[in-house]
Amino acid sequence: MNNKAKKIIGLYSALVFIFLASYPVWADRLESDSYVVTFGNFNVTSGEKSSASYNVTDTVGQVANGPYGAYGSSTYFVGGGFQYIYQIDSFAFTISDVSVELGEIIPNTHSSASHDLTITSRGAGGYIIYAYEDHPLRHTNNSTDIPDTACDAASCTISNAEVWTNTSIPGFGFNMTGNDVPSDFTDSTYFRPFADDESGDPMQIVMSSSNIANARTSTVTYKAGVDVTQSSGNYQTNISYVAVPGY
Amino acid sequence: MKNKILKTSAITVFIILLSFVIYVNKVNAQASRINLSISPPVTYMSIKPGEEQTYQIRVENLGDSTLEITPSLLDFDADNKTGQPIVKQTGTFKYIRINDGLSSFGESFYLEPKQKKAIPITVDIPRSEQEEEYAMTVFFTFKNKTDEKQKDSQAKVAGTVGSNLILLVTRNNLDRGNIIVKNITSMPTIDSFMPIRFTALAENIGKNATPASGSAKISNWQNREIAEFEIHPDMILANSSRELREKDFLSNEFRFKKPFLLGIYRISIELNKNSSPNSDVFVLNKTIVALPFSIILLPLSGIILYSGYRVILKKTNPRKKEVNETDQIK
Repeated sequence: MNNKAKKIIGLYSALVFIFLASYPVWADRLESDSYVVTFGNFNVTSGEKSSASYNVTDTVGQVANGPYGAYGSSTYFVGGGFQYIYQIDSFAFTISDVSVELGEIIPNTHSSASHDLTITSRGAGGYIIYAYEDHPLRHTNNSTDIPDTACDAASCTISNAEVWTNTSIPGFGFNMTGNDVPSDFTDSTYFRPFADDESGDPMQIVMSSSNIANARTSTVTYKAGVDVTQSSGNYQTNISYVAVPGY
Repeated sequence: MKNKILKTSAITVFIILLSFVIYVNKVNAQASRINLSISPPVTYMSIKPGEEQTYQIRVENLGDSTLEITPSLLDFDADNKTGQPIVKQTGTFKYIRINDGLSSFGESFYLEPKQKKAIPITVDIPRSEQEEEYAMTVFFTFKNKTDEKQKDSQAKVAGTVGSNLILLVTRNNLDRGNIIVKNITSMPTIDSFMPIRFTALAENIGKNATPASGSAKISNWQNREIAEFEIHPDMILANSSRELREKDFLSNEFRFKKPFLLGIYRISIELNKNSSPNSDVFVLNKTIVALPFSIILLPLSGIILYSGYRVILKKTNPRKKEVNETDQIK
């Protein structure tokens, strides 16, 4: 291979490498209808420090910081300084998969599927996540339901999980593991039925914390089983998770 | 040489194609993930009857697929403990609307991936409206606009995020919150080697939400202050209760540990009744006693155990008894 060919290949490889390695960087202009931030803030140090159990924010050396006025006692409230940015932080909720596919459910076996719920709430008031189903798993022709599980001892409820491992007991329910889940989900064999909106059940709490939540994640595992008398066909329902910030 | 160039070019093209395939698959794998962010999570607003005010809730689609979003409004109650809303199944407040001319509560809109939208919420209070505080949540139910995979799934999942609105209808801007300390919960007597632990429940018997502010103190029998905890400024809604939290660790349990505690201790909670500068202070005290139970009980339990052992030994060893009786006959 002569030098010219080597150079061409080298240049070509470099271009390919740059193309593959390039990553978009997004810059944002800090503005709204009423303001544009054109200059930053001078301070000694500031930022957000966190671990698994706490979040701390600090601003040291900033001029003209502090609360001016107070909610309720004056007609205005101004939080001056970087520190007050954290009070107006966002509240984010992620569901890792919106399709729960239990596959073909064979009589006297249990089928399961799972996904994650993740919550980030910077407010010190914490958060709460409720869940409910529109109705039990229902045949697409509306003829029949797979009942919500009552677990092995027919004792689990929408607010109390119990063991459900007996495959001859049919039903539909869920288990939860991970951060901030109810303590009655002792291990992966404990299940609850979903709160049934059609029957007027109140929404059930599936995650909650009264503290700051930094990407707190839980895994919901759905399980369904049928007996030999269950009509064959497709069964469906809608599950809703409602995330509410604390105040 | 031509072959070498051809080989190198083919490998390069293969790498590019492979990278593209991996990228496309990665995007497809995330298609069922939904993520919505809202800001602010909580809004406190005070308004006079006959006035109109607008505030904004910003929603952002942080996921990779277009979301169908439906706003709604429901009331909530305080849980009277933690500050977590207990959402009701109805929304009764009538004087609120989405004010962008396009959407309204119950009507869906779409948000593309990484797109943000500011939702203007207008509160318009009639002149005849009574002074009252309303607690409600503006909800945004979100689901994938289209998801082929979802059609065949047994359970279709949707998410909802809420932004709380605590609205005070008032004819003046005075803070008429009135916080009292309902109770202090602790053991009446503790062991000298154990820490002093207590919780406190505050109640706002006033007309509007106001933050808890003040401190919890522990004094010894000489009335000397030995510990002070600053109270975290959690909002307590009108006619509701909330457990107080200490500011440093955001814990509802106040805890004071010393190597050895002895005598009478007084827990004292001092709270400003509201956030106005000349607010009165509410004080509640509770007395507890620290005694060295473990020091007293350890020898006592030793004596009891030894006595018990002697009794059992006597009962299970009748031979000795018989011998004694024989001696008496002789």
